[in-house]
Amino acid sequence: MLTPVTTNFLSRLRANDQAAWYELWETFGPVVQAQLNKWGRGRIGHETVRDLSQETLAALSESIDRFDPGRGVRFSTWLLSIARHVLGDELDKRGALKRGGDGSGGRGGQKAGSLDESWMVASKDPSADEQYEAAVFRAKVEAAIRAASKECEFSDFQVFQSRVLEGQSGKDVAAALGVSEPTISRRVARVRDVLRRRLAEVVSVYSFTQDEADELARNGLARNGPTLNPKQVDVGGGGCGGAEMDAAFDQALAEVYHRQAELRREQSR
Amino acid sequence: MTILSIILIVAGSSLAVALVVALVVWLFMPVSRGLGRFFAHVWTFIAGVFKELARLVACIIVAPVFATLAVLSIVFFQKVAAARFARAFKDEGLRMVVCVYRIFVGLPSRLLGVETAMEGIETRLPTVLTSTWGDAVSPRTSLFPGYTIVRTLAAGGSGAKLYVAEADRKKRKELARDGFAGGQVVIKSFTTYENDGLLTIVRESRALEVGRRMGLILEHVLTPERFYYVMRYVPGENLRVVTNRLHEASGDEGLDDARLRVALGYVRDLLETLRSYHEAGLWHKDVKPDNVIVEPAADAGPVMAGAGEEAEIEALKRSPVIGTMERGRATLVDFGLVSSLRSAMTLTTHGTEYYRDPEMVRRALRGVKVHEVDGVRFDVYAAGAVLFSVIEDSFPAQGVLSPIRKRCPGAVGWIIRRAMADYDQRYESAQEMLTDLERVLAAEDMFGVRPADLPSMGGEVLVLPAGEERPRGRMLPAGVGAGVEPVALGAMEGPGSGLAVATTGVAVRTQPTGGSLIRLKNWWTGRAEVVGPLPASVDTSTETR
Repeated sequence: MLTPVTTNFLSRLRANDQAAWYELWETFGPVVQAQLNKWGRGRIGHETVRDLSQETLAALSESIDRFDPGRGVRFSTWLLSIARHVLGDELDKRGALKRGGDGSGGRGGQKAGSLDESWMVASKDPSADEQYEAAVFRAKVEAAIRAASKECEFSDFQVFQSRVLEGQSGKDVAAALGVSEPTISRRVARVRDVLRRRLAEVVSVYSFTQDEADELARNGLARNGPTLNPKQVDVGGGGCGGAEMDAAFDQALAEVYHRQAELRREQSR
Repeated sequence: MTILSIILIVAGSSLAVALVVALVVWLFMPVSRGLGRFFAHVWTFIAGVFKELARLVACIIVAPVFATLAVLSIVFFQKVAAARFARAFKDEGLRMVVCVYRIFVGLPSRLLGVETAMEGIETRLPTVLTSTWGDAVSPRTSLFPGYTIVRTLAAGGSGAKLYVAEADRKKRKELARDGFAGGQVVIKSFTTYENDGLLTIVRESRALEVGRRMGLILEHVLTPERFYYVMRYVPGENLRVVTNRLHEASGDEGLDDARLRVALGYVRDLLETLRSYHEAGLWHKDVKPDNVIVEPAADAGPVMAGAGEEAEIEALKRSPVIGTMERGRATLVDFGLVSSLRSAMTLTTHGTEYYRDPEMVRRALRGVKVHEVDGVRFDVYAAGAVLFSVIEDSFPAQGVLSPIRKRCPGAVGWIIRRAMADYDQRYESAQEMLTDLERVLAAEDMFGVRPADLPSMGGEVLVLPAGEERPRGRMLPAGVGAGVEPVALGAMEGPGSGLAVATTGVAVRTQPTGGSLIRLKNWWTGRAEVVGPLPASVDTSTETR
């Protein structure tokens, strides 16, 4: 399931549009970095991880012409497979160096430092795949928020950020800005509309399968009439009114935003 | 014997005597001259030996004194003095070697008349060596004429070498004509043969003339071997280190009021500097905490050291100055990426991650020219990121979306986000951001300032405490910005009055009792007009925390 925007974006990547590549890096670079960190488990340093995450994007650019997204592979899987390949290469090089080689010959017939799944099962947390998929989704949401911040008036977006993402009360935000609470509500609604549209666009660009495209609805962030995630909001028996849908959307968005912020915070340490 | 015979005998004898005398004189003079020269030559040798012996003895006496003084300086942590005494000791050692050489080789060879042969050793060889291995033969003095290198600094990203140096007397006189008050300098040097040195040189040199007019660059020199420029040396620690200390002393919640005021004062200094850059048509392009050096105040101890912490905080609270002078001034350094705002060159992606606006990268990747963008806004973005970093003690990993978790006045959070907002929506100038920040700093309770109170949001502008000495006039020497002289705003205030500043057209207040509302007509000349009495509701408290 490829939308025209996805196809268009892939065309830009294939045409070596540097701005498109930068956009991809800006959005998913931190996720790749986090995944490489997790796989490396202390075996590779922070700086190497940064280098590798860049190499992942470079490898992506080399393989983009051979990639056929119509075969049903997920965007996130595609990104992950490249990262895995890059990390494998790095570990192979290190293994070769330890064995006295020059580290430049790739696998050389020997399996070195394979990315076996046992690395990922020791933790009681959700599996690395689930965490990774969640991180990729959060990155898409963050990209949408960023796009909305560019599109909206600065003060409108700040109202939204204070009210929704930072959880300040409408009264406090109104007092800080010297406006009435209904004004705050109107501004929040304006930004929310933009965000819903942007979310749909961004997820569409970075989704190769229907399952990925449905992630918005599963996470309570769909544009029209979301299929709310019961874990995130209790809609009650009386159905889901507009205000309730907005509140659920805000809550889901804030949750994603804070988790993404936490990821970035951990990376910055 | 006839008379004739007698006359002939006398004449002959006289002639003979004359001939003998002439012969003796003819023979004796050269010999005596030769003897004289010989004795003079020997005397020169003997005197030279004694002179060199005397010098050697003096060196033998003085050198241990310098060595002892150097050791004592080290013991008492007098680093600069230790370095000087050590250099003096080394110089004495070199003199001793020269004395021994002259006594045993130089002077005897001259005594034996082979000085022409010695010329090859004493004159031509050092000349050839210096021109070939100049750096190695005498690195301290031969690299940069007029300067003696004191030490090196860590190299920056451009591959240039950085030296701390001292100018000699002649050079100091030259530099003094351009307003150099003395002290050490930093020399940034590029070799012309290394890597893409030439490209870097071309890039750096474009802005240097403007930098020199601004007093940021003392001189720049291009030789066949290297290109270098000389800047004032700013002693101190970078803002990242200082911020880290302030946070360590304040605790996990974030900066307390006193330290917050100090930290915001540093950002204010940065914005003032950026404003002057922009007015001079320059764009710094690498604004980050590591490039902001906080100079220690002359009477200040270590910044926020653990010992005496309470006393320090109390001192800060008592200080009538709102955040800058008591801790020394923050100075923006590193000219490495400075560009002309009107450059016809293609925009590059240089800069530092998290402090570099992603929009700049996008535009650079599209191949736009520097003059097609507003570089000022990219510096403003970086200033916002620096403000974020002093509040959070971390970098803004999510750009404008980075959450502010630590203690921060709402208005400061607003300023950060406005500075880091989308290219078209952020502050248009460093001055606009500065005016907002000064509004916060002027308040007794910074947390009481709402975003709505900021001048950029239509709020009132600042009222600074009476008697405050504004440092702005010290930022740059005269002649900044194509003849525009920066104004020492303190000159506006009279005794007991408050200083009121604002952008042109914005009402500001002076502060004697029953003061006047004035409108600043010209930022640079300080020309203002009184537009009415100060409203009674305005808080004109001069106290600051």
